Amino acid sequence: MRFRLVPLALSALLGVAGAAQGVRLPQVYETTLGNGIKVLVVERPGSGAVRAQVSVRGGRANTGGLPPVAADLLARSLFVRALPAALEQKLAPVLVQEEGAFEALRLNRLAEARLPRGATALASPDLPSLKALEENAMASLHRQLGEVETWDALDALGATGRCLQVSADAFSQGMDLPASAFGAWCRTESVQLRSLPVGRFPLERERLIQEIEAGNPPSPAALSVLLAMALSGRPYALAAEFHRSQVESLTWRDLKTYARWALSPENITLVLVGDLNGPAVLPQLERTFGTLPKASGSAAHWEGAQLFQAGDAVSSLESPGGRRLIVSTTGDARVFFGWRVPPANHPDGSSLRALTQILGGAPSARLNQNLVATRGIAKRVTIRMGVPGRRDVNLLVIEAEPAEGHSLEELEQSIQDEILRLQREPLAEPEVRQAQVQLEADEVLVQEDAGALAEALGRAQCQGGDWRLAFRALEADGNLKAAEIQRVARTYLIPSRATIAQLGPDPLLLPMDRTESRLLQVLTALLERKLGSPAQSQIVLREALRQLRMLSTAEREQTLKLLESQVHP
Amino acid sequence: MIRPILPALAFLAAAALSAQSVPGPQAFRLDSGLNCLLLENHERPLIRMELDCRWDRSELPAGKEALGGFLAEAMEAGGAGGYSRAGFYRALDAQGMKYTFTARMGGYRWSLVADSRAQETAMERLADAVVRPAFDGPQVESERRALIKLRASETPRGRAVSRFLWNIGDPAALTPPGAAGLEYLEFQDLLDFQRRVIRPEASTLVLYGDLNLTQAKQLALMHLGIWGPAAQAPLKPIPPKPAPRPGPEPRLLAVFEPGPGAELWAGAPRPDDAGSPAVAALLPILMARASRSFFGPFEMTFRLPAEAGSPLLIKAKVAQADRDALVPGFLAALESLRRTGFSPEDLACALLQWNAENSALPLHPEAMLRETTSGRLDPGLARAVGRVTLKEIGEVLAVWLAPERIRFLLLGADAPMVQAAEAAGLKPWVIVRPPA
Repeated sequence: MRFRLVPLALSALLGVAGAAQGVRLPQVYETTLGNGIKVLVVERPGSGAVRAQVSVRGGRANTGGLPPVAADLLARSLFVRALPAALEQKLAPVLVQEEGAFEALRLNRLAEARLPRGATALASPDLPSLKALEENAMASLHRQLGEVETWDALDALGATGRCLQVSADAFSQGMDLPASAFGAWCRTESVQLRSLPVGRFPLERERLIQEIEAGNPPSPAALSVLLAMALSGRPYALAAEFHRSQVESLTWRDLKTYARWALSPENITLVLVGDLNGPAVLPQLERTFGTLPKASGSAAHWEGAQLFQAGDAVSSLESPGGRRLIVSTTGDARVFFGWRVPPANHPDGSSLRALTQILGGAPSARLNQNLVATRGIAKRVTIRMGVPGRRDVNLLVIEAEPAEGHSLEELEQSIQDEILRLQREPLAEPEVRQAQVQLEADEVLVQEDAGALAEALGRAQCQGGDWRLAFRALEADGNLKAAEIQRVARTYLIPSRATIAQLGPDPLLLPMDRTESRLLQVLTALLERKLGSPAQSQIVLREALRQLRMLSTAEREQTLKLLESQVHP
Repeated sequence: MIRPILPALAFLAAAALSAQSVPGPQAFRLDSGLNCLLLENHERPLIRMELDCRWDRSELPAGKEALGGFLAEAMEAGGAGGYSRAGFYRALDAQGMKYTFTARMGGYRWSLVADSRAQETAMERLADAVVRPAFDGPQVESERRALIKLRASETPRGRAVSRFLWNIGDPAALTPPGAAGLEYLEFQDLLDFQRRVIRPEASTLVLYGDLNLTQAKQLALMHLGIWGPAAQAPLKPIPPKPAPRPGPEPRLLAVFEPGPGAELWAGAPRPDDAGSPAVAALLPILMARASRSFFGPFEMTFRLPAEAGSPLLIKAKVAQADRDALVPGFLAALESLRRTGFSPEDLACALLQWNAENSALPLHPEAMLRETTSGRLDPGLARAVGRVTLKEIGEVLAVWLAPERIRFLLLGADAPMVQAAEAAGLKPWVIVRPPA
């Protein structure tokens, strides 16, 4: 079809934006089944399909004494493929056999690792048979699970777009279904949640070990350093720890016990978005999911400290003084700032989000504009709220990567300057309005895709007990105040709540450029004359090089010349 | 390959075939040749705009094959309309608009999502980015130098991967390996190439969301109507074109590097005859299914994106203990798939999945937008998919997996692995070693 210009009043046409104007918060039908399962339904009549999501409150930070990786293994074992309960029963002897052999081999490896250097362990006569036993058990599992790995009950229903999310607060499984398969899904999924078959555990354990060994753990290693230091004593402190030894220490039976209490009905939220009617599907949900039994002692619990409550004094967010870490790594150089902030349901949540948006939430935000585009100090800057979760005290994190020729110290200083500027100089009203518009746009956009909407609703429900927390900017209705944002910046972005971590190569092992390499040689020569102990001179050298990185290239070269004149007068 | 017998499959597939069809887009065309498609959705006050511009790999001048990728870099870093880059983003952010630009070999895509009340401004910004990119000569030159430097500092593994992906015609490999294609580029080359390939007659604008046909026509005409055909003869609509056949490149690239495990990749460029659109629609699903049903000492992933021009890519990774099994196991699995192909159950499952994916499209507007230009929403395709036979699939699979077309990349290799590969007939091979 070829279009010809029609002389119409364009402005009048564009003024009519359609029936959708004014739609703000999603229309959510919300109810709780008799056994405590929360149900959230968003109707999309005529779409012919349903996005169904099961969200389970209690993720990596709530594994009941097991390492955080247990949440990942449970979610993967249970949700990646739907294992029939009868098949798990059939597999039980093989699973027990594999568990025993794997554990014996693990203990043997540990014993070998503890031997003094140079000593050789007496080879256990059982070792070859244990290895064979373990290999045979794995081969048997592969064979018997092969059919489920290729095609399972959910595939047969027409489930597509299956995805799994695991975080510190929750794990979830989502999928698209033809609307006609919704009833069958309720039956299949509720049977899964009743029997909780985790017989695929050995397969998922092997996959996860491979990911960790390949340097792709579910959460980056740098984050675990920051969390352990910034949130010590709080539930999230260890939520990003992923080690091979932790994965290997878990057993099929551990996971079964964990699944029983973690997937108790009061921890489950069903989110349904699509071609269904909330009240109409309720009887069906009651007949299926509503009959799942509660587990004893299943109330979501936290290890260690009490969850932070919205009414708690803000002063309790403080760590024992600001902390600064310098970590030598072999990877890229990064600087992390992490400030302790309150959980999702705290009244300051909206202003904190606006603050994050103003600092780095868009390409033209302050940190991106000033540090990346204008001054070219940083290659990239990202800012995130709710690291690693939002049920308890968590972190607002800025992560920045220095541009070539700029040091971590220089970048850290520049970020500090931006924070101070935000705290001291009055915020311009247009900047606040812009942040408001962007946040609202994000919250409208998240409603567009059924998968994104289901994920946002489920996450907010698990984190703060209310799906509306996912739409706080829209709820605020344009009511953000510059003074409030600045108050929040002055309350939370302060040194006593901050942990700063510099991750980068050790300057002694990997100087950043030729000038630094030469500086290292000259300083070494100078210090060796004055300090007797090599260890002491290394400490001074390292600190001196870090301080010199604060200078510009020209200044560093000038310093080098001065120092060289002292070495060779 | 494990073949599950599920008696209910045929019934389920048939039931899925009767699933409701997704409504197709409304189409119109500007005098300049720009194709426009509209999918109305008034549920939310949002509008999505996507302009997809296609060009042909053969338009890259000899010796300057990096132009496609370099133009993408320049467009991402440069300004648009009367704005500098920073100003352009400020203008977008002021209205809460989300803008993305993506490039692949043979095409550029600009996307913008905005509140539908700001649709006019949104279309103006999109037109700025597409029609009025602003390049700064010195900045472009410094980017070129930075890119050459980056290429020179690539690790042996990075170099080998770039070379392998370029050779199999991966659309994500936008520049040839090394700095060769970049060294003789000049600013004028960039401008000429931009004028030649970014043209309305080779582009499609897709609008989705809270606007009607009249609004869509007005917007397109007002902001993209002045974007005339290029001075050179208009290009014909570009059909998916296969990447060049593997030339004198080695069959195997082996990267010697220390590490506990090893990886073997196999890749094949899209053949001239990749089968009918219906077969091409089902094959990616069947390949993904092959990944799940492979059983061996390591896992294999078979990936064949449905996107036009995409190659076949198969990967496997092993731990130290299973290194010896990698090459023979991998080649045996490939040969087994080529010879035995897929079963009736595989086909029924793929059919069910294709239909189920289609029925779920209304839940995912972004995917819907992409599929509008891919032809997936064509009701004729749905009928054709239902009639695909195993024989047709087998014939196309045999072409895809023809041994002479497949190239291999061995990462973390050692001498015994290369010997095993040589014994299996993977010659000639090239070894890439890390610097001493």
